[in-house]
Order: sequence, then C-alpha cells, then structure tokens
Amino acid sequence: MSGFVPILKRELLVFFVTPLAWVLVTVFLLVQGMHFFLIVDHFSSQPATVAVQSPLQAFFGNTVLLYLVLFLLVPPLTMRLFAEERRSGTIEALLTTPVSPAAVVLAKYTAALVAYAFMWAPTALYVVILRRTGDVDLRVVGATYAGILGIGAAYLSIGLFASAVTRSQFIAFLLTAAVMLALFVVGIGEFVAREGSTMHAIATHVSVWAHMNELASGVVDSRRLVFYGTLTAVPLFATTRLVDAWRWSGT
Amino acid sequence: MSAWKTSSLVGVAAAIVAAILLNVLAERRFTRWDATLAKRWTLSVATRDTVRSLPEPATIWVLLAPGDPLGQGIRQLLTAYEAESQRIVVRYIDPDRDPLGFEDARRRFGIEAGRTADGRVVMDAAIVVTMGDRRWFITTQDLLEVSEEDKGRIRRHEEQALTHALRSVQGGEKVQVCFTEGHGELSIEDGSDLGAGHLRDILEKDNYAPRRVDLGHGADPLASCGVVVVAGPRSPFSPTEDERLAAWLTKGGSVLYAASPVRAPGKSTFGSDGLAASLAAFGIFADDAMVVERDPERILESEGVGVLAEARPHGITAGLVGEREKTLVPRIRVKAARPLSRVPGDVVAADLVVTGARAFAIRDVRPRPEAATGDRDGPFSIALASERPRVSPSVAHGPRLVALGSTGFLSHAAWQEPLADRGAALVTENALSWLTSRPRVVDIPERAAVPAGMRLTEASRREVRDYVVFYMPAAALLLGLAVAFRRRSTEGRSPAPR
Repeated sequence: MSGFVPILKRELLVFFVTPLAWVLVTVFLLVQGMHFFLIVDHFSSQPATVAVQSPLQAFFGNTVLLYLVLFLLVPPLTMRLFAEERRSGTIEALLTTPVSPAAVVLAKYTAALVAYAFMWAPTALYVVILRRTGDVDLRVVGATYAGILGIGAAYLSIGLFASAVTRSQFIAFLLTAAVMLALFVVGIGEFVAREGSTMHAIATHVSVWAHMNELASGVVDSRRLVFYGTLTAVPLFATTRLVDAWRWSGT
Repeated sequence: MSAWKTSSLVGVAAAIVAAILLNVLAERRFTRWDATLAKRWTLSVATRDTVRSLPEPATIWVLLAPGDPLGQGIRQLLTAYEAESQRIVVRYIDPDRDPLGFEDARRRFGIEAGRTADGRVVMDAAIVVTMGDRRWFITTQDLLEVSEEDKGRIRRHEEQALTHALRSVQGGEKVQVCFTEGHGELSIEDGSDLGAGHLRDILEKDNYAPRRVDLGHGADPLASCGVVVVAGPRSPFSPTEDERLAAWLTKGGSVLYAASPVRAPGKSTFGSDGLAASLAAFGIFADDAMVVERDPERILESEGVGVLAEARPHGITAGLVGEREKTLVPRIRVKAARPLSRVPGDVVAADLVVTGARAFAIRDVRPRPEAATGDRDGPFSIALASERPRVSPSVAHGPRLVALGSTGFLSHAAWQEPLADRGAALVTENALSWLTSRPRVVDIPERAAVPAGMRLTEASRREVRDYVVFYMPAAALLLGLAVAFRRRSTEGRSPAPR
C-alpha cells in the first residue's frame, strides 16, 4: 500500500483548496441548519404530541431530507476523483508510479470519506444544543453518526466507481445520482408494498429511511452492517479491477 | 476481449453474486443490538419467559401508520418479540394507506375510528392482541404516560402493555362489570342516547366483561362480579337486594352507583331508590331531591336543572381540575342531578364533583323554580368516592364505591359531547378504572422517564436559529473565502528556499 498516504494528502489538498468544497459545506450546513431549526421549533411548540420520539430521532430518522443531503454531497464529492484525472491525462502518470491499484483507489476513496465526515462534523454542535435543552443518549448519538458514516461510505463507493467508468465529471455525477435515486425509489416501496411481501422485505432492506430510523432509535442491526458493508466493498473491488485494467491496457 | 479482462469481469460478477447471497443470508439470520443507555429495546426476563411459553400463536395487530412516531417504537419492540418466538405473528395495518384492511380490522374488532382535522385516522385501540377467539385491546394511553407533575416527562409502558396483553389472552379472566337490572336502570343493550350500550362498548374495549345481573335471583348473583354498576334505577331496590349488595361490598366488592332524582309514583316529591344501607357503609347518603342552579353562568338548561359543575382533586378527576385558560380542562355538564352528602361514620367520602354555591336542592317539584322552605342551599356534592379498609392484606385495595348524582354521567350523550365538554364521561371512565384498579405488571421493570419534547424560551429559540441557520454556514463561507484568498495570494510564487 505504498503511495497511499501521499495520494490521500494530495486528494484532500485538492479538495479543500477548491471553492466547490466550501460551497458544498456552506450549502450543506444551511440545509441541515434549517432542518434542525424546524425540528427544534416543532418540538418546543408541541411537546406533548411529539414526545414519543426524541428530536435527534426526528432529525436523523424521520425525514427524507437525509436523501437530499446525500444527493447534495456524494455526487459532487466523487465525480472528479477519476474522471478528471482521465480527462486531463494525469492518470497515466499516476499509473506509472510504483503504487498498487488498490492503494490508488483506497486513497481517493478515503479522501472522499474524510471530506464527507468533515462536512458532517459541525452538526455535532446540534447535539450540544439538544443536550442543553433535554436528555440526549450519547450512545444513540454514536450509533447514529456511525450509521451516517456507513451510508456515506457505501454511496461514496458507488460514486467512486461511477467516476472510474467515464471521463466526464458530469456523466459521473449523473450516474451516481441515478443509482442513489434508484435505491431511493426501491426504498419507498417500504411504504407502498404490502407488509410481509418479498417486495416489502427488499424495500426495507435498502431503505435509508428505515435504517436511519432504527439507528436514531438506538437499534444496531446486523442486516444493515452487511448491506452497507457489501455496498461499499463491491464497487471498491470493481473500481480496483478497472484501475488495474487501465495499467495494462490503457485508460 | 482479453483473458485478463474476462477474468476481471468474472471476478466482479462473482463479487456481486456473493454480496447478494450474503445479504439474503443476513436477512434470514440477523442480530440486533440495543445501543440505548436505558436498554429500551431489550426485553425483560419476564417478557421473554411469557413469549417463549405461549401455548398457541398470538397475533398482534398494530393499527398505527409506519410514520407514526409511536408506531415506530412499537415496531422496533415487536421485532424483539418476534425474535423470541415463532408463535408471535405481527400484522401491521396502516389506517391511512390500507383503508380496506383497516375497515376489515375495524369491523372484526369493533373499533371506533374517526378522522382528525388534518385527515389522520384516530381510533380507540392502537393494538389488538388475539389468541384464538380471545382478544385484548391496547390504547395509546396504555403505551405511554406524559406527566406534567413529573416535569412533563414521558414514561413508556409499551413492554408492560404488550406482555400483559399476551398474558391476558392466554385465558386470563377479564374483570366482570355487572349492571343491575329490574329497577328501570339504563340498559347495556340500549344503544340510544339514553341507554348504556355505548358504555358497554367502552368497557369491552377497556378489556372488561360487562354483563347484566339481577340481585333478586339466585343464591349469590354477584359471586363473579368485579364491579357492580347501578345505572339509574327508577324504582326502589328491595331491602333484601340492598342487603345483598351491602354484604357483597363488605367482602371486598366495588360499586359504581349513578342515580338521578326520580319522582315517587303519583307524588310531586322524589322517591328513594332503596340503597341507603349500601351507601351508608361508605359514608354516603343520596338525598331524595334535585339540584337547581341559580348562577346564570352555570345554568345549562331551562329552569336550572342542567348544571355546570366543578371537579375536586382526586385520582378520578385527574385532568379535570385546573384553570381552563391555561390548559384544556373539559367541563362537566350534568342534567337532573341529585345532591349527595357525607354521613358520619368510620369512612369519609371524598368530593369528586360539586355544584356552584348558589345552587339549591328542591324536594318538591311544585313550588318551582324558587327555593322553598325546607330546600337546601349549595354547593352540593354530585359525585363522591369512598373506600373502606382492605378486607385482606393480599388484595390491592379495599371495597370502593363511587356515587354519581346523575345517570347523565353514564349515558351515551355524555360521550357525544365535544372534548371541551366531555368531563362527565371522563369522570365515569376514570371512576371505573379506580374501582377495578388493575395492578401494574410488576415483574417488568419500569423504564426511566424521559423529557417530553423540549423546553425552550423564545430567546433560546432565536439563539438556536441564529447559530444553526446563520452563524455556522457563515463561518464555513468565511473559511472558504479565506482559503480562496490565501490560494490567490500564493499562486505564481516560487516556493521559499529551504
């Protein structure tokens, strides 16, 4: 895995010196801030009716806004990773260095994951605010953020693969968004399909809404670990094979 | 295509297939961990024992929408129940999205449902647990309790309610509520506004078994009764019947007595109902008179026979005492009430509902509506509760009696009032709960209470808004601008010599 750290550093530097990163962070915090404030406003004005769930659960678990945030973050974060290098030709130079394809893929992926985690980090302040106004179960908070990281890890992996299959950032963006949209649509089946049917089981298995509801309630389910684990590993493996193929047959 | 590319494609395809198989296996055999500090989703030993020892399949019908916050918690908990035994079958019916399924369940279980102003379906049972032909209803009030006394904290009883229901449908006897008959009482078979048919439905939904009983027949007609309801007799009980009831009460029975003033046949005065001995054992006397209200703000009907009464603090009247301006406290509207009073003795009855101070009680209907010589002045108690010492240390409470001075407390009309005027119905429901006073399921530990909602002042709310909507995004923007300026200022410069 030699070469992993230099590539990771370079990717992080490239990401954080571009205006795109800060625009993303600003818009992300604005959307999340408004969402959080709406929930706080709702809970503080109707304590008896919303008491059966915690504000934290409402923020992370009971909303489709999480999808919006994922759409906002994941495609822009990953679209550039390989597509831009292939378009500009810098990938050739990278592939001639004594760095394994796995190291290249993992370094770029880790950089995207770090950037994703960096964007979520300020939302920890929301937890501090909630602790000032009521009880917050920090173990549930931990499970929730682990879930956010796990879901992001899986979607970023898909985005990385999409970036590797095309030279166009825009197409990479669209491909990632399309896969996420497909998962979203299947997930909606949770509410449409008949309870107990195979379709319902599949929909629940891929529904981010259901998974975040569980995690924000403090339930960690092995099925979700397997789902996001495989959803992360398979695109990473496919990307590694693709990068390896470029080395021997050209990009 | 080169062999190398083919092997790569095969490798990726194999990885996808392996991933799908792994997910299928994970779906069939999974583990859930409870990350909450209070172990909210971990079933107690008592519940696990109950679920594992179910003699036959139990079906749990959840009539809550998937988006309902209460339903989400129930769903998580029921997954844990299902994991303990294959004899637990859970059926979810979304009242909003599956109207046919909901209508079927509504008819099957006799559930009453209505729609709120925002279109949501609300009903008088959130969960129904069935085993064979036995069923047990769980309401949202059974699942959680929000207490203003406990600084607005919420206490969850979901596990207690579900486990209690599972135990109850395994053949546990329901408390029998016996309605006396033969004296012109309200009939539980009468579904009209003036009947007690609606009360019977409510009792069944509250997991009681209502039935009729004739005190004049059989050796021990009250043997299996948990509570006896005397619902507005229009002719007097015989001394033998009164003695039977009093004897049953001294053995530990409880009675809900509701009686409006009834004119004696052929007279202008009010007659007795013949239950003086039973009432006297609880320090209560029902006067053969009728309350007339003079206060214009408390008069509901012409000539003052409908009164607006006030609740006094007691377990039965919780939620009915307080200032209406601050919270929604339902008003107690009562028609044709008779005054009740305390009689000296070893038991002191507690006031539940009283009239205004300007009310008076008439004994003769002729010189109306002014008070005549011999009439009493208010305020009058029109609902009293009393409890005698326990007859044995093993029972939860002693014999109890709630006396209501009007049959209006029990009639269908009381439940048809808008919520703001449904105080009389709530008194009756609470009185029945107090009389039966089911003990909580003690072998399932109570969960810690959690704060209900958020307590924020207007200033704090604004502060939160400023921080999360303005300051945090602005800080990110400023940081980005700083990076951009720094980058621009260093662009084109050669690196500093080392």
